[in-house]
Amino acid sequence: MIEVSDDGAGISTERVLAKAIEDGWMTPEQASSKTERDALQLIFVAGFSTAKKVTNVSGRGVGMDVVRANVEKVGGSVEVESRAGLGTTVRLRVPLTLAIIPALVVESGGQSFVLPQSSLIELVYVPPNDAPAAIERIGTTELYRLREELLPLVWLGRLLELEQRANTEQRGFYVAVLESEGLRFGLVVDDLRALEEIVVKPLSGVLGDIGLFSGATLLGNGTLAMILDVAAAGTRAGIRPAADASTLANLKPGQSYAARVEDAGCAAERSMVIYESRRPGCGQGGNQAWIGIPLSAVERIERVPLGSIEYAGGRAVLQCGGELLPLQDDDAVLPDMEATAGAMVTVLICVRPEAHTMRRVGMVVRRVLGISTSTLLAANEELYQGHLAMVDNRVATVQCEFAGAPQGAAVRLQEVA
Amino acid sequence: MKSAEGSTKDTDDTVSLCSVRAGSGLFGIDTRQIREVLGASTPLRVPLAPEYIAGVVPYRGEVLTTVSFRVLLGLERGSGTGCVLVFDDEQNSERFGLMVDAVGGEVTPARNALEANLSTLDARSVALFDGAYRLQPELMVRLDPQRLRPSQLARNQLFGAAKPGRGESR
Repeated sequence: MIEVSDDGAGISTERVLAKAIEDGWMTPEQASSKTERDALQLIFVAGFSTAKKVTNVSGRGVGMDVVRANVEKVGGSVEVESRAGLGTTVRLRVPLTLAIIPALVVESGGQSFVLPQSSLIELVYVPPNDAPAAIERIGTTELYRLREELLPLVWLGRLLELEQRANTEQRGFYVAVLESEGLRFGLVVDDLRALEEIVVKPLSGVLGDIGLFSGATLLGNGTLAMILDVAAAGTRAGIRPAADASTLANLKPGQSYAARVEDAGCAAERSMVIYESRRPGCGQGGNQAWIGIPLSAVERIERVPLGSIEYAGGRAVLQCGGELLPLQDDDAVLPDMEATAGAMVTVLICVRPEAHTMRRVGMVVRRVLGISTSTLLAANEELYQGHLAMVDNRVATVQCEFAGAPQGAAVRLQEVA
Repeated sequence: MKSAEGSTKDTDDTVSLCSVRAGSGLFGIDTRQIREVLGASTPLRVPLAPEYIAGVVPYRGEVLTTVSFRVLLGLERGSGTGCVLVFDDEQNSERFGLMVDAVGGEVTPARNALEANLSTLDARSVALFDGAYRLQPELMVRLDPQRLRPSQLARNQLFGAAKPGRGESR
């Protein structure tokens, strides 16, 4: 490990973030949710620079990107720690012997393969009972739902055209979540063997030309095993970098695409609080429109007596835990309720991201129908200016104002709490 | 694992060949070109490798790419275990192994017993063989290790798509 530190001005995260917003790397909302550590990572982005003057060599935002790329190429890492006014510390971690790497030995099709640990994020065991349900399909692409993330799956056995073990579904399987060179996918293997420090041996030309193995190694038990080139395997299986999502439209027919499906920051499938609306144009009788709010944007649901709702400056407000909560009554529920004595009003306490802060808003709703998993439909401008989702085979409109970036919103929720 | 005999009975009249067997055929390779003979070994199959690659075997701390001679001959791959002859290629610094069914001993046929490849041999055999010695009771086909180099085979269209069991005879 090499540590270099100075006692200079340090890196101003405000300036880094301001520049990032100015150059379009991120929106102000995203910037406000970044931690100091995240912000410092920006200096490694290719083309990022806060320099005001650009010369032939300096101020082009290349330096730190090159440093990181080269250090990571040999299996190391770069870390930056900085305090404005106090100084900056840069730590380079370079492996002691470049040829020895920690690795995970896995088994597929009766053969052992080695995955470098540097690209291994986590391991998931899918027990036999869950195996049939765990794999979901979008078109020809198979996915695994890892928490809130859709992970494209690559079967190692199929990729390498190995003889398939017939009873994978009966014995369960392991998903190795791998990330390398911007590709993130789940590699399905039959079994896990061991963690080993391996010595990488180069391959001869003919075997190197296969393009899927970065070398071979002698395992502790004296047998050889091939080392999988994670990035090459992902590319071979059709996985693309997440940043390439915009090239979806340019795909050739028949080419499969399996990056994280995200539309306007909303994952394709997500939990939503579904409620009913009787707004004009929203249907009548038993056919009221359903509206969904992403669950991550809803902090809690409260039922309050109508009498506790007050009016200030022409707006309905609710005192809630020492905080004045503005109420939003899109559905005109409150006027309808006035007639009923002792009526209880349902309020969804939602979090709305606003520039650099969070604001809570109470949504007055007629009736909460429940929490349901919904599939976000592709935007259809002609039909509806906004997002539609499929909930229990009914179409629901999605309230996106509370969750422009749902993942960010979730982070902010934690911060508020 | 046994080292190739250092003393060869190569004379002006005779050549020293190491006899090997693959399938039903008898083959001879110049002993001076053999670096080492490994006993029975089972190469690790490499997925998606060309058909004629038997796999890789550990050899003196290195990973040795091994060619399956049976597959080159158009025979079935067999049990996957065999003797591995290690060859060095000085010019291209390419070291490789050749897996055969069994390694016999040293034979010293007369130089003038070598016959050139027959004109009736098929293209694959011409690419592999380097003539044959008239031995008793059977012919011994001479092999040139340089022709069996993996990189050489990869360039040859005949073997690039070789599949076992094509039924081509020697």
